[in-house]
Amino acid sequence: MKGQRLPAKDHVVRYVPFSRLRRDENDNVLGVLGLAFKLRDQEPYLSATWLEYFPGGRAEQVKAAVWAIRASELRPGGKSGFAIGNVGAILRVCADRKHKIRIVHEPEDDNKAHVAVRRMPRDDADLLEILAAETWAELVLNRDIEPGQQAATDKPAT
Amino acid sequence: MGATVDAKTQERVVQRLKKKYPISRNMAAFNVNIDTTGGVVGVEQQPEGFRLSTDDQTDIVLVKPRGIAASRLAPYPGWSVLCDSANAAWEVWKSLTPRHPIERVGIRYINRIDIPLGGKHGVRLDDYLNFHPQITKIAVDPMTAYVVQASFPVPLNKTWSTNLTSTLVTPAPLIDHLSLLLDIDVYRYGPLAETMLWDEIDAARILKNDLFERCITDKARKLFE
Amino acid sequence: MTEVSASPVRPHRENPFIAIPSVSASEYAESIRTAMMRAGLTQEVRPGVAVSARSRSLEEQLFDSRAAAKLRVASVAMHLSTAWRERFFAQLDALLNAEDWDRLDEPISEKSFATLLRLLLLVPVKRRPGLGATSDGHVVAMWTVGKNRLTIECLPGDVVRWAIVQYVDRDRDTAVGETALPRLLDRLGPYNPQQWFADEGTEASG
Repeated sequence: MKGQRLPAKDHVVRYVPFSRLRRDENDNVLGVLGLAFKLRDQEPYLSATWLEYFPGGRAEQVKAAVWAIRASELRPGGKSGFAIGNVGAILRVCADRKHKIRIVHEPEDDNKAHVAVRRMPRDDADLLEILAAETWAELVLNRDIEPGQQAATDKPAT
Repeated sequence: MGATVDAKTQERVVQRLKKKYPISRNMAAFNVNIDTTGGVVGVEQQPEGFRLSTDDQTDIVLVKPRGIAASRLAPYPGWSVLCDSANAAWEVWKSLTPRHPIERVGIRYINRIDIPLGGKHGVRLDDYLNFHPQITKIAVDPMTAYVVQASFPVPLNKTWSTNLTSTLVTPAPLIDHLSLLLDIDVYRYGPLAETMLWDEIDAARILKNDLFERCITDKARKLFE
Repeated sequence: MTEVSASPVRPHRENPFIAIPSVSASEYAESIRTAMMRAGLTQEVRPGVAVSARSRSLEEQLFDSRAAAKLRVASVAMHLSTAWRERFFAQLDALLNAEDWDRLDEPISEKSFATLLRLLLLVPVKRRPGLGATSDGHVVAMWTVGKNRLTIECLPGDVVRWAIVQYVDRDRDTAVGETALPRLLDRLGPYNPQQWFADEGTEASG
């Protein structure tokens, strides 16, 4: 529901463009940069997609989330990735650093499963590194998800 | 360099060179005219040819209304490679442009000398170059910038002339270094028969090498080793 | 030789004594021209490349960013091996590719890239970094060994923002900072930066 805080047990999926994937000197992907979680100057919140908005087991949910992001205005490139993090863990690590963030379902026209991570600090580079290294570090590459796109339905899976 | 070639012909030259130089940009000159009586400001853009380059930006050809130039940026692959590139570009130019006498031919080497500072704040120019300004009788503080140029007949062959230019590169490309430019332009005016062209260019290189050796000191020479 | 000839047999150019050097595609030709203009030795205003009034597409902007970066590399190519340079160019091509570029991001600025090159030649880094970019046009260099990671964001003017995540046994240590490039090694010193920079067989300097 709009404005609903996500349950701590659920997960959020953040689109990571190629330029913010952690790679070695031969462009082998190793993870995510902390910069993938940095707010742009004019951004009031960090965007993500609610994984459990979609039905099915884990694999189906990941595929559906990626398909929904592909159908959105983001238009992920072929070499991009998607970082998956547990809501509770993200809230905890931010709270440990005195940041009271909110992870809220805020459907948008191009993505009904859209989530806003509000009150992300703009000046805690250590936090971003911790998110990238541990808390929001599970990575799925766009090329590893079956081709296709489909917008999220108007209502979440029950 | 020779008679003026129209834009359409220049474009044909560009198309023929596209395989080796896939990247092409227009060049233009902007003339700003300010009429101080009427207060009118006019800006005129004049096409000035094309800049072609390889994808890695190291080999460049300039196709201009009055001639063609081939350039190579670092890393320098050697004279014969540069000469071959220039010759290939020249053959295309020659095949597509109206016959005209060669009016000017020249080669230009812009050398950059990177001098490690080792924590010092400056260097003595005359430790590295025999071509530099002198202000020792004018000020005690080191120069913060300079540019010096001289034009004269080439000592080994007065048919040729040279423009020597030197200046400081700021900021230096390498940290804790000071970089000097030594620009040696060796040229002659024609008319020159085409059959003599490449022999003359080879001759220019020998003259340039001689000038280079005259311009630098042993201390600079060691930096090139 | 200090003598100047008052009436040369043949003038070197129709223009005044101080002649304008011939055409060259090198950035240093422009440096020389600019230096001479500042010294009042020439009055020309002749940029070498046309400037279009229309806004440029993302593809054009990324192309310009790639070209500018490669030209910058040419200015220090004598300090890089051919193999290192070629692989580095491949990384730039992959990074500044319109298909994978986030359209809301600024292309990498030339000044940021200049800082990166000076970083790579200063340190000295034997192992090429991975390359990334921030949303505001700064190039990012990254090194990873196991779980230990070093990330350096290159700002214009030889300023770098660095971030380290390091594990000792199971303890995680993070450190971040912003520093002038000449002092970077001092700042990274406590974290054993050679673990990231050391050669695995790919050398920077030729």
